[in-house]
Amino acid sequence: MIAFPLYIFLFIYLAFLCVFVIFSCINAYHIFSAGIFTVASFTMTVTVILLTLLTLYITWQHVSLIDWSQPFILFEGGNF
Amino acid sequence: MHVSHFMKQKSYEHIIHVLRRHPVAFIPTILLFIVLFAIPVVLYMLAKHAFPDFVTSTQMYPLFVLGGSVYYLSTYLFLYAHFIDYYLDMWIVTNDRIIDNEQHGLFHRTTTELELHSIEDVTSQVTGIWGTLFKFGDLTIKTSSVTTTIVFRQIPNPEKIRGELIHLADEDRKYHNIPTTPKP
Repeated sequence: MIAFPLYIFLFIYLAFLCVFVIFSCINAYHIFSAGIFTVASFTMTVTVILLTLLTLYITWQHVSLIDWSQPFILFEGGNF
Repeated sequence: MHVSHFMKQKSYEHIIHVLRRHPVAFIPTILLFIVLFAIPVVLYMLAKHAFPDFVTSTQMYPLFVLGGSVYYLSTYLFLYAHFIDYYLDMWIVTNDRIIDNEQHGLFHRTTTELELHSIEDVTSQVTGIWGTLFKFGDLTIKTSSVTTTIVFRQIPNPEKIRGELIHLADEDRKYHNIPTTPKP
């Protein structure tokens, strides 16, 4: 049986969030460094920010209800 | 918009056109995003209907939540990166030269410049039903140099811009005392 705590996935998720923030900053840098502040670029930037915040909020709503100390069992023995 | 970010303007130079890809050219990306957005919702509905215990089990539920979050955040990155790729493609036409700025992904950008008097051939191409309906297409500019070819991709009114470029190139040749190539 291979088992590890569920919070390992939470750490992996946090690592992904770091990568996400880095890439988002690079994206925003491209827009701001080019100095292009038009209705289109503003709308797209705000839309992406709002969608991101909404997704993080919904994720938090679900994540906060989970008991992360539970073990995640990958292979359960005794099935054969 | 700061065109100065893309070019250093000469004292006698004035900008005639700042061209971007037609907005309709971005619609396929938005449609793809909508499809990508809907896929997990459909899969979740199907899975919840077919395997209700599996989806809500204490083992799998956290993975679905985190996996769904990762998926959606990745699609937003995809959308924004494609928007930047689309939006930062820019072609500047002045009375002296053409500057081609093209963004390829997040970490690749090319800038090409050519003098108007070196233009030898300008070809406009409108293809497809959307291009014909919304009047956008490609404009290919070739010079005497084999290596320098600039393509204005999916710009509005390519035929009108083509006519203007030919006129500007003739004017620039006169200014530089370069004889116009005789037509056969």
